[in-house]
This record gives sequence, structure tokens and C-alpha cells, in this order.
Amino acid sequence: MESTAPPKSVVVEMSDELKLVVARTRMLCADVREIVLDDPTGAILPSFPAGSHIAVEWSPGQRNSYSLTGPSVEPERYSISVRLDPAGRGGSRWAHELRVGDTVRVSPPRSEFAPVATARHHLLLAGGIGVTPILSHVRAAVLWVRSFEVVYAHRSGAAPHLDEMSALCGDRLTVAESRERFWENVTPALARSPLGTHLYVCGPASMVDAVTAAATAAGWPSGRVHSEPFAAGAVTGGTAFTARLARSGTELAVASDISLLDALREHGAQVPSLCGRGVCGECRLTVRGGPVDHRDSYLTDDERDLGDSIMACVSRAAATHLELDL
Amino acid sequence: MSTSEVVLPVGANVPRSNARTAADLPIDTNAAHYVVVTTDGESATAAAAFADRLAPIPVIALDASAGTEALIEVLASARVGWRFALLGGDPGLSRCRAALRAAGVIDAEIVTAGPDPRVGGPRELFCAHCRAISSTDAPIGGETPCGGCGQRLVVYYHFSRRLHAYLGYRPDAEELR
Repeated sequence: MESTAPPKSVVVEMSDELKLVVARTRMLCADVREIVLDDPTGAILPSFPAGSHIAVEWSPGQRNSYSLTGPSVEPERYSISVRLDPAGRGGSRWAHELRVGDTVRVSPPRSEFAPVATARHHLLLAGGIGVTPILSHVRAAVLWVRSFEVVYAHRSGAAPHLDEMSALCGDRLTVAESRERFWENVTPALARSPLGTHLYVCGPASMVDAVTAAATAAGWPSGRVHSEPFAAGAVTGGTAFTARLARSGTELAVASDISLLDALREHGAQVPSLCGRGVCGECRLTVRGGPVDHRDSYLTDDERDLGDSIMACVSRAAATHLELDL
Repeated sequence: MSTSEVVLPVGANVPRSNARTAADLPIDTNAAHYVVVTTDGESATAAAAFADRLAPIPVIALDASAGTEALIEVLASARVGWRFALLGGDPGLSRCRAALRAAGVIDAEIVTAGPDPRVGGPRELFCAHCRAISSTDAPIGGETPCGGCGQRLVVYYHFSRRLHAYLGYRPDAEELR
């Protein structure tokens, strides 16, 4: 901290990372690119539960998570679909510029959105690029002959994987090109689902919140509602604040357009992270003071109320200062 | 073994009720429908009072003291969003709960009010040797002959929610002859 050299970005090594090669790419719609990754030796890749994602390193220490859309049992390749986010920090832009033959470092699959094997029926709701883990769920449901239905909401002209979903689902798929059409289908489904149904929703955070609220109001216990929110654009934005590192006594200005995690790393602090969007728990830090603006999907309500933890990649100070145990 | 409350080891797997009486049961105001089931002949008044508390949520009231057929019929039209309140003691309570689980209902959708199973009361016993399920008044940890094969069984503190019965086995089953 007192050296005169400029702070380096810290590379935090992933243990058990996979070095894969881009085998092929194609555009699924105007802003979504499918990228297929192979093991360079042709080896079978690790199997994974449906709904899993991999963290893809797009610059040293920076990772974005993408759901795996392909077959999950002893797969020969991993397929991901990346939506170009013009307001992002560069990860999706990097993915859209990858060429066949490029090496890509990824984490092994992480499962945080798996189907409940004992469900009597699966109600699957996909919003936009949120279709990616839902497609994975559909593959598993077809493989295991499970009862399921899908409502896929998308803006007209931007329906990645629609053909594949139609082929797998047949008449179990309903497509909605407007919010009204989406709710025309979802509201009755919430009121009339057979006993034992589990609900899975993936899409923008606002859609996930709205579906969760509607399900709760319709009497669905939280144990039946499973969600994976996707961040819309840059989650790191907010008001600027000061982070005080209690052990060294240094103070760090966190600007409004940078995440606490990135600010700490630029400062030289070694903070591990994996998903970059507040779902995996890797970047959890201990908070000694200052109210926290929790924006993650990892901490429980009780943990948030305690106020002694923060997920550095997405959450921020609720006021002007945060004191961290670093 | 005395007939007063049995002390069970930590983590013993025996059914527990949410409350001793229906008056103390919590109500989920988001529920779309409630099914209130009495499992013995003594809980009718408590069930009626509980149903009154539930208004305006629609209620189906059932008596399952003679068996679970009526409950199973109602389950055919039940949906996610429904809640099930079981009032009364064993063995009826556990039989109803097993029927609900078989239909896909999870614990968060069930509330029960009944006596503490550690204190007296009839319970069902699964014989590990002949696999018969018989009803017994023996306490948990006590001994009783099996209604199927007649062997002396200990009522073990392990309860199967699927079979709605406690595990019974011969206490000397491992001794070599």
C-alpha cells in the first residue's frame, strides 16, 4: 500500500479449473451467441445436474457465469449462450469476439438451480436469456420422463433456442411475446398446479421477483419456488462510498460505477470470486460497520439482518461508509 | 419403563406436532384452501373452532378417524396453494400424513396438533421380522408382542413416515444361538 508501483490487478487462481477450446460458435439471434467448448484432448467433460452454470474467465480475475445448455451426462462438450450486454464490463463483448481454436478457462460446473427429483410436475418459466438453464431442465425432464410445462417469455425477434425448445417440448411449451401474454398463462398455472408441482423461474431480476411474489400470494410455500435471477446490465452501479479496511486502517473510495470487489482488487486486496453476480458465495466478506445494501441472491434473510456479511461483487454500502474486516 | 414421558436421544426420529392444540396452530393467510382433518373422535370441536379462525379462506372439513379414504378423495382435486391441518393423535395422524406425502404434499404445507407421542397413546409398529404393521399401546422404548408373528418386539425410536409406523425388532435378535 505504501509502494510507489501502480496497483496490479490480482489474479486469483481457480482450483480445478478446466482449460477448454472453442469448437464452434453461431448466432442464435441478433445479440445472443452460442459458444461450444471442447476439451482439447477430446476427453469427456464432467457431468452436471441440470440447471448448472460455469464461470468463464474473460480477463485475469474476472469471471462471468453462463448456464450450460447442452446434454449433462458425460458430455463431449459444454455449450453456453451469451447475450451481448452493451452496458456490461466487457465479459460478453469478449465472448462475442472469441474465435474457434481460442483457449478458454472455466470453472467446473456449479449447481445452484437443480430440478427437484421428487416433484410431481415441473412448471418452468423462462424470460429472455433466462431460457438457458430452463433448456437444461427440459433436457433432463425429457430424459427422465418427467411431467413438465414451459412458459417462455421473450421480446419478438429475440428468442434464443426457441426451435430446440419447441422440438423437445411439443405442446408443453407456451411462448409469450408480451408481459400480458406471460401472465395470462402464469396466473392460472399458479392457481391450478397439481399437488407436488415445483416452480422454476429464470430471467431478469424484476421478472423473478414478480413471479415469486405472485406465487407466494397464491399460497406457494417457498420450498416449491426456485429461482435464478439474471442481472440486467451493470449491477455494480450505485452511489459512491468509502470502504475502510479495518486491519490496515486504509480507506478506499469506491466510485459509483465500480463494484466493491473490483475496487478492492485494484487496491491490491486478494478477494476470491467466482460467479460475479452474487449467487455463489465466494466473495463473502466480513463487515464490521456500516449498513449494507444487499443485492445478492446468496445470503439468507437472517444473515442479511445480522449485517456482518457482504457479497462484494454486487452489494454496496447502504450509506456513505463500510468497514470491512480486511 | 414408566408410563410417564419417555426421554429420547437427541435427533431421535419420531413424529412431532406443530402444536398441542388447534388453537395454537399458525395460519398461512396466503393459502388458497385449507383441509382440516380430525384423526380421532375427540377433536371435532377444536376442528370447528380452527375452521372459524380460517375465514375467509375456504375450508374442507374431514373426519379420518375411520380411515383415510375421504382424505384421499379430496386430494384428487387439491392444488399447490392448499394447506392441510391434521388434528388428533396417532395412529390416525401418521396415516393421514403418509397419505399426504404419497400425494406429493411437503411438510411446509402440513400443520398438526396432537398429543406428544412420547406420552402414552396408541401407535403403529412395523415388525422387522414378519413386516406386519400392528397397533400397540406400548410406549416408545417399551416392549410388546407383534400382532403378526407374536415375537416380542421393542418399540424403537425410529419412525417411518412412509409406513407411518415405528420400527419394532426383537431385542435379542443379534444374540447367537
